[in-house]
Amino acid sequence: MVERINPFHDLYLTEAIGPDSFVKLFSPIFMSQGLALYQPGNVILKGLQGSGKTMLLNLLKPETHIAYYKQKVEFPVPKAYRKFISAGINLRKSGIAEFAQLILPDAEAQDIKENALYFGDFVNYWVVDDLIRSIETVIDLNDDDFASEIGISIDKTLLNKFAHKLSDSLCWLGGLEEVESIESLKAQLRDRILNYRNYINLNIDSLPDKIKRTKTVIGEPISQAADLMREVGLIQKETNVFIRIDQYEELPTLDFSETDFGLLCQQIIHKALSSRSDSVSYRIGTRQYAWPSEPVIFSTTGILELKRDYSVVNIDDKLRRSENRSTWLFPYLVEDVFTRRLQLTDYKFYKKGKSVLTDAFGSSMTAKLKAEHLVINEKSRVNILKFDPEWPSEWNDYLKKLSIVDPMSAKLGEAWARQKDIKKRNIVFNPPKEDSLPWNKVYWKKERAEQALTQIASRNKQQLIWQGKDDIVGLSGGNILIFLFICQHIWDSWLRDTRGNNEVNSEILSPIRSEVQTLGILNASEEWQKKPIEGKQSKKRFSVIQQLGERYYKLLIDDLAMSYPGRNGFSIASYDLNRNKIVKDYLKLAVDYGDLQAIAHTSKSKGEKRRKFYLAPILCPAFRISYKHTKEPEYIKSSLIETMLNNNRNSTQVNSSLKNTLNNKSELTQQQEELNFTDKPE
Amino acid sequence: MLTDNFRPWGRFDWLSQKLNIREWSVLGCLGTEERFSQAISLIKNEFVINHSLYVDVIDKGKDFLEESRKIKAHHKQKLEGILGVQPNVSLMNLLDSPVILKRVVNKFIEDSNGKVIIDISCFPKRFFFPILKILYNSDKVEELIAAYTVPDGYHEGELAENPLPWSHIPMFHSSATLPLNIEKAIIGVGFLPFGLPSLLKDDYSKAELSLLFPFPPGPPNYQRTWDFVREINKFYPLTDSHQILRIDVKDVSGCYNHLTNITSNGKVPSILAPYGPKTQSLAMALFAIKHDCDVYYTQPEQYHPNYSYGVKMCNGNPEVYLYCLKIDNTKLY
Amino acid sequence: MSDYIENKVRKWGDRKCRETNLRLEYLEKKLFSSYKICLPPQPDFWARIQKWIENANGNEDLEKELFNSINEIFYIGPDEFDELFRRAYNGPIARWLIDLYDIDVTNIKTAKEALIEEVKHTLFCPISDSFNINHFYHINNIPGEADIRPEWRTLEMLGDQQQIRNLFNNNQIRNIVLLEDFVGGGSQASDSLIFANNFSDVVSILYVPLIICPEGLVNTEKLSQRLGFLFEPVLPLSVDMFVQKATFHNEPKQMDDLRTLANKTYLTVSNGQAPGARNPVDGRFLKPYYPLGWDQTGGLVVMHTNTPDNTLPMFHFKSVRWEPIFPRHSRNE
Repeated sequence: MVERINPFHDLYLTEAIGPDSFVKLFSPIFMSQGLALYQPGNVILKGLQGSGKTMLLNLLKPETHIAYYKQKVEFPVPKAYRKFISAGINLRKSGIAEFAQLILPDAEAQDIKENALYFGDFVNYWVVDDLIRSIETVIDLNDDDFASEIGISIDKTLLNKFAHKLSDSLCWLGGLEEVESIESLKAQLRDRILNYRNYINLNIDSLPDKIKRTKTVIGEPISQAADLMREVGLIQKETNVFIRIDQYEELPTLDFSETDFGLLCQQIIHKALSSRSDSVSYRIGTRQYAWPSEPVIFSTTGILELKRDYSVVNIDDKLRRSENRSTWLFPYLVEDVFTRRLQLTDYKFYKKGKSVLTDAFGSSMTAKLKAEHLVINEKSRVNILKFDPEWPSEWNDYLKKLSIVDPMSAKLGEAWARQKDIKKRNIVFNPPKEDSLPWNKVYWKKERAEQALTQIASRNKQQLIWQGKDDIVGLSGGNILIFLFICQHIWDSWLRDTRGNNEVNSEILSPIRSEVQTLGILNASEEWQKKPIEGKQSKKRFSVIQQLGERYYKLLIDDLAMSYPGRNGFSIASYDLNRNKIVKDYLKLAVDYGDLQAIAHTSKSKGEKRRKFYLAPILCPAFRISYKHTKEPEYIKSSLIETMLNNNRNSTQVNSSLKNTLNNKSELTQQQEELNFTDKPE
Repeated sequence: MLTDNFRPWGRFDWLSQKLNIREWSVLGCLGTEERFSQAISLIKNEFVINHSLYVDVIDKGKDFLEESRKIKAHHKQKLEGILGVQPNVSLMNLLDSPVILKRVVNKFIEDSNGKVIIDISCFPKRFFFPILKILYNSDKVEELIAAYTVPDGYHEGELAENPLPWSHIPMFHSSATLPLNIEKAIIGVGFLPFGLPSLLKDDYSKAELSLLFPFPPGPPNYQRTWDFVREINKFYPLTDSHQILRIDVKDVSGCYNHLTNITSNGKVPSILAPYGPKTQSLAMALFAIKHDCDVYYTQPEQYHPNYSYGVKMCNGNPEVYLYCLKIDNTKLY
Repeated sequence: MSDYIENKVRKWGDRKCRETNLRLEYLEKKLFSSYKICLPPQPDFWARIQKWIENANGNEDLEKELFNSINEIFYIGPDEFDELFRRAYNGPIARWLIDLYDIDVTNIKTAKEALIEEVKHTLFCPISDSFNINHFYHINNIPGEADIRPEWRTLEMLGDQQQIRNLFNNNQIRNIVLLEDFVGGGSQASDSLIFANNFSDVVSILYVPLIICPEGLVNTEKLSQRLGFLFEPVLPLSVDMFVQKATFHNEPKQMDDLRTLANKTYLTVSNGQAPGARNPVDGRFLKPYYPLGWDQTGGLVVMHTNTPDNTLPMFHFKSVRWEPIFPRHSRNE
């Protein structure tokens, strides 16, 4: 008997379950794209919430490596890169924000700078302490083989030797007393941290003089610690030391008192990366929006150079679909994640091929099939058509007859007859033969199939059909959290649907029915839409997304000629965007938080650049529009987005733009028809 | 009061008559809500006011600035009418440094007679938590009472907007220097779980959740509260029914005792996230002060001016509650 | 075979119904499954909800209205009652004893001892057998000497006053707390209260209903003033938790919808009996009384032990033509 649980019930399960179970659930599929994380050199790891950033960084932790070792499961990091130890700091959890809150509005620039230096000093002490803790974690395991694999000596006496040397180092600027034991060293490090904690908690009014006089330079004690570990033989010379700094995005938010403290803290971190030291390599975990395009180094005019000082691993880019589908990693990743979750349960599906996702959800239906499923009752299919009053009855009869056997084709035929081109419109006087339907041209049909489905569903007062592996993967938009969210809802829908039904108790299951999946996906989309939006300008971001979603639904269903099937997104000229800072900043924010996806595209028109924006795919079912991008999106001016930002939904500006679009009067829409585009992800 | 430690609390009209101290200093918030003045009005009638200070907190967000300003100007006049003198008002920005707040509160303590009533009704948590800590830990404050006024109702739409990322409430960062293995995450359940899944996921994904579910009261908050619980449950397991604890909103002492039980009197490393009603948050603040816990919150940038409306009445009396926190320099929590 | 409700939700294609479906799925697990009258082998919630929808006889709009109306129910489960028990003991009862014996609340050391001493001389009794008095004692860990806890409705009918006085005397009972779980209009408890008042010369009396409707509150206050006993409910339900007889300004839309639904389904619910119908012989009102329940209260309360008849009968009344979602078990059919 199969236990009726939802394998996706707890979305953050992977992180919630500890290193031992992490081993079972972590998917190594992504490793090939993120190998830079396990090699020397600084890496900025960018990704949205739910992209898998934390899981990748967790692989650097010794506890995780030990868990794999103990369970005799192959560690996902290739053997050649396993000699490493890591330490880190989570900027938010460690209390960085509290440093910022100590700065008063009338603080002098020098005071603000000094506080930034305290921040750097705090990071140094924290990370060195954590590095020692990491080493001790390995030593305490007392396993020669494991220690040898990562290049660490388990000789505890070396710790004291190391402590003596490190405490004596000049890098502390007199901040530490020379000690003989590792315990004494740790005590001093923690005492310093405690002083900072008391200070930020306002338990003391000011930092002790000793701290004020001995602020260390960011990164120096950390590098020194790594070097000395190698020198005394605690770690091998080839063992890498990785320093994780997570939640870098916390720093730009620290400007509480309208000072640039947050900016200075960012520059402090950049300074650590600028040393190009072989001793340590930094891994900076951040959301997309936070890492600056020109990272300034503290107290200099220098800027960190991409590829020289650091490289970037952008999880979202790597997982988002590109032109070349065969290199798209995400489907393989979700396949593996899905399989692993299922293996923790008793569920088994009939095996049809290599894909467990397909076994569970089936293949996604073709548009033709979806159209037939949308209107199951053949006699009702004629209702999906809207006849022009001037059409001859023969044409109408033709379409009606066609709709019974092929509703998709009938709808496309209806659109064909509304085209601007007179030759196309004249088809009403001469309906084509069955095997030579002009609207069946591959690209014409492909570009309009999704819009046709939207119109058919609307006419039939139904929701679109969402089902099958392709739809689920597509709606996930390259985000693993959203994928799990969708699966959770489909599974719940299925469990509800089979409530009290013994069928599910069988050992092998059939794919989940498409209507069950559709309801689950719709639930997921509506729940995601309602989810409290976090981060900057959340209210405005939410408002604009609602307006865009509603707008595109209306544009798609009202465009009976299907002249603009790509209008589930919008395009703005780069020059227009650069002139409108409010809209530019908003769009950057919306993309960085995952509300929108951005794609650059270049027109043939002499160097003109534009950017396209689409709603996050997961939102599309709630707005009853397709997530697929076909043809050009709606061309707009930035002023339309500005109007939406002002929450002026009923403004004449928004309405007139909409009217113009529908009447094809906009100069932008004319431009659209002349240009040809290739998509290029940013 | 019967099953747990004796910590006097109750409606104003009941408890006020039992207090021996008849002269008090009052610290409150000059807010946009009608209930801001209810406690001081009762205090004025029943006691002598030695000294008072009202803090006017200016939101960071600009949407309601003008409307708020007008309401507060009117409220300031009302306060003057109650006190009979120009009120002592200190202007602060919502995100001002706690250093400034500490100075203001320390000055208040200096000017007070050491017998303090803090009206928490309209203070943002970011303010009343640190204020409470300073007052509670000050030797100069011998008597400390918290006052809370129950509103008639809450705004039906968004109560607050533009939440900042989660962070510690100022002065509520644990001083532990060793990384703690946090075993319990205790959440005061409210209306909107801004940032809560992120908070838990990022660093406390292994912690077992305990949700403090405010009950009573009942509808209409009741349905909204269950939606909050369901939202959290999407991301985190709530396998044991005892993880959702029904806790009377008004009983600060009872809530505190639950916290003590859940954490084995503070021995189990825990974090707190007060999203729920202020009285529940008061209990969490007192617990965090005693046991040096991290307290996290997502601070909104602005609050709706009609966050709440009216004052709830019971038998013709306004529902204002008093909670004794310190008596004769003895801490009750 | 596909689940009935899932099929319906898919067919309706209505967003609100989808949201209700998710909410009910969750609440069934956390709350509704505790409904005692429908514990196995009785039909479970999903079987009942199918029959509930089938009441609409295929009318899709009505189906959706019935389905969504469940959102408005205020369900009070065993965990909620536990907290009400605690609240009663640590709130009204504690304060009453403090007042009665003039216990100095500012003397922390002696106050608790004095209170506990009085508790030992207090008898806690239910008015009717629907109140789980044993559980009340256990959950509050109440010390006491007397090991009987008579139910006063029965005492009033069968009790010998002298024997009752002897009981008090022999067990040094000085105080009586009368408890009731739910009070609608207050008429059911009034006889017991009047009877208990006969002993007010030897015992002090406090009446603590856990949950009370507005009309019950008014009537009981009048009675308490007339007879001189003290009365303090734990959770008085406010007027806005009830469906009113007529629409009013700013009435929440869902209340208006419920009233319309209750009115239009009443004749089906009652199997053709008109609202306010009476027994021609004794003139008593006939169930289900009115579309808004007994005395047209318009309640939305469902307790895990039973549904009061003040609650809209469409939710609880079973007839030849109507299947309720939370069937009520009446004492006298």
